[in-house]
Amino acid sequence: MTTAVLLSRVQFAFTIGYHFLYVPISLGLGLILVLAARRYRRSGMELDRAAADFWTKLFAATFAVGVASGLTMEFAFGTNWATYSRFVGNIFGAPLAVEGLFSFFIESTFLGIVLFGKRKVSTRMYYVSTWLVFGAAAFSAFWILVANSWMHTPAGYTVEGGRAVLTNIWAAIFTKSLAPRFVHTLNATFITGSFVAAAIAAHYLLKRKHQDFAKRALTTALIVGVLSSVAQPFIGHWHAIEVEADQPIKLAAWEAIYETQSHAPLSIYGWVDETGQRPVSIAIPDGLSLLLGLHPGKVIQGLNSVPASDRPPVQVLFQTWHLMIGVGILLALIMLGGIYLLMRKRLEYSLGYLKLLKYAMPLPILASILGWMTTEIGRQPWIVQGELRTADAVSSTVSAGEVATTLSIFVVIYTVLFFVWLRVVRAIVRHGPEVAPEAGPAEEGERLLASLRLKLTSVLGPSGPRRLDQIIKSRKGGDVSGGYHESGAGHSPDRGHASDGGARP
Amino acid sequence: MSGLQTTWFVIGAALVAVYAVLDGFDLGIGILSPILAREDEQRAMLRHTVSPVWDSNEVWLIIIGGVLFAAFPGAYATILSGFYLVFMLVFFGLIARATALGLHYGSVAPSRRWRTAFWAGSVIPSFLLGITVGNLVRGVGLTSSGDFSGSLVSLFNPFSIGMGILALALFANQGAAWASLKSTGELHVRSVRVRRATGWALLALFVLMTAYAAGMTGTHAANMVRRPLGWVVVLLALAGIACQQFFALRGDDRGAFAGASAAMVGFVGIWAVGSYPVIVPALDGGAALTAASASAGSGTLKVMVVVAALGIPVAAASALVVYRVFRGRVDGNPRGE
Repeated sequence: MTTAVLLSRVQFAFTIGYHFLYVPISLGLGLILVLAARRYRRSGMELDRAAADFWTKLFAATFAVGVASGLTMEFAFGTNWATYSRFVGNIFGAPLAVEGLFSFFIESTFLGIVLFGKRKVSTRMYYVSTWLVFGAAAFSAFWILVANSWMHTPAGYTVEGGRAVLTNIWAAIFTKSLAPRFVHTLNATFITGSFVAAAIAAHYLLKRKHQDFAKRALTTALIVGVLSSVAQPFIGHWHAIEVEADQPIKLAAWEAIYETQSHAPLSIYGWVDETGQRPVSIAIPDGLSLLLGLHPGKVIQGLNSVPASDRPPVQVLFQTWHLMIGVGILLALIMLGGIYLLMRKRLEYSLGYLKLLKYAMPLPILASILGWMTTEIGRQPWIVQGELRTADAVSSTVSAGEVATTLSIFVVIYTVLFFVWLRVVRAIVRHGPEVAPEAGPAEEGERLLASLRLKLTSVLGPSGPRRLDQIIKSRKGGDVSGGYHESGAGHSPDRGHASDGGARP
Repeated sequence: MSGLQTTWFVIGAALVAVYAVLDGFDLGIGILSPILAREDEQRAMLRHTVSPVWDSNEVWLIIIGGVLFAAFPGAYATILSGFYLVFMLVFFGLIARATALGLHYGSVAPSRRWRTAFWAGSVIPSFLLGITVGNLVRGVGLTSSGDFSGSLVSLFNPFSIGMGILALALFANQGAAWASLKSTGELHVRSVRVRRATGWALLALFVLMTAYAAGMTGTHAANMVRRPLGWVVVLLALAGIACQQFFALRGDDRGAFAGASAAMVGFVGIWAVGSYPVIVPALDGGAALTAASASAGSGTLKVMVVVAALGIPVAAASALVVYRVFRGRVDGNPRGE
């Protein structure tokens, strides 16, 4: 491998890996934001408005870095991988264009509304906008994974004159690895979002700040987190079955299976003795065959069935793969523990557990990066499985020196950007959700009424609070929602929205 | 040359025009930011004229990338790898800009450093996009396999540098027109003044660059004279500049913005009409990359027509939503509360 190829690979891995730090956080927080906005729409409460605003700020800061680092990716295939671009242009460009046209516009437009337009649109429009931002982001993930999956399991094309020509668009979109890859990746973003939200909530509970907000956020995060993290091993298993069928050498490298064999063991932890061609590990005998074929006689294709030049690096894959699984299981256990404490109503007093949650935040991101390495390094030495080698795919006109220059600039800019992002996030978290200042007994009444509204909403739906308003109105003969909001702060911003929410059918 | 390839050349040019009109004004706001806004409150107002829309505007650039990749992969590969360092600098600039705008949307007064990042992140990409178009008009060295054979230095020739300055003037003019449309008070007075000045500068640069281009070898100038549409786009550019100054006399900011935008479309039109069907012209008699030689297969182009027919209305509709929600002049509060 020449220096130019190696540097181009490092640059691509670095820039996309960096982009992929922010994408799972913003997608996952997007779900948390939608849930918070939904709650606000139903209750109209000041606390829920503040919560939705808080998640919006975090989402937007992360999204901004995602946008900034994503822009270069659209062009990175042309700049560094010109030969690849010419080979796959007929197939690979279309999903990128679709992603832009159908996702990025909706995303950027409605994020603009969520961020800046709250006073200009109705609460319903605001709520719909949060859904559109989240939905468009997920849709964009779908299309980028369409493109990525095609590199792993190419279909719907023939090779003519040294380039892949499209023959069947549906086969090229819905390749064999798309469904498990998309579900696995999207679910990973939910796990990430729930851990980020849980860490922030745990931080507030430990500091005894914003406790009302934190308790609610933690409950939401734990429910999302336990569902997604417990489902993830099963989704991953589905994906592994697909990999075994479509990219058997990748799977063989994950488990360091050199000779084609039945009764293949499943390693838990260890390393690969590459000269001896065997894993040195704590392993479950017959485990891999049992998992993938449901019987110990299932034959697993080994690495030695293909020439050494067609094999991916085994040691690094063995490590990323097993680490990913280990971290993934840990994540599920943490979330299950939280649900147990929640059900025993001991959550906010379990300081040790809250500390664990606070510091566990990087783990799902680590698992995402490990998973991405597992699948992408597993495809090597191919850039398009079985069709084009990575070493043959680079831009012939770009020199190693040029790539080294841009790579160093990327490293500097992205490092600065990371710390700027961290500072912004810390400032947002330190500032906390901005609940309008509360004062005096009238405020206590408002809180009681507000929780009553929420309960009524959950029992009777949106008509519940409206009936409550009518009852109070008939008793007091005045404008209720105006009356008690006025006592809070002069600028209580959701005043109009609260009564709107109640009055709408 | 098939009808599909022509269709995609036209769609591509139209996308470039839309991008230039829309991102043109927010890049222009960035270029002019140190001149237009002198105090924190004015800076906040100026930033708030673009903060809800700049992201959506920049998406058009991503669309151009995606469409170029899908419809003309040969051109996508050659231009991006050939102009490697130029485009990387464009991206570094846009990253700095996006960060300055995106991470500080809520704060009234970002530090001096971030203001500089916003300014430089607007100037550098604008200038370099002008350099790129300049070279795509003038021609570059190409190998027989369609790869770029020139050097980085060769991209910075007098003509392309002139085009870089023209691009700065165009975007600045568009930015001033947008600022005058959206702002009030002192900022408004100043942006009207800058709009007029950049309008005249634009006219002067246009005459200068036209004279330069007329003396160059290559087919661009000849095509412009030969094709009726060539005269239309030149007239559009001139009429846009004239209208802008005319509406300025009547104090009509909307009319002036429309004039500036028409001029922008005219300039993109001059590039497209003079170039068609060539995408990357070759210097020294090499084989140019054309809409025929650089295009994807007809299967992909057909699929992409369907994608564009469905997707461009979605994109345009959501862009319209954001402009409609945020219509009218802005005040100094960055979050509009």
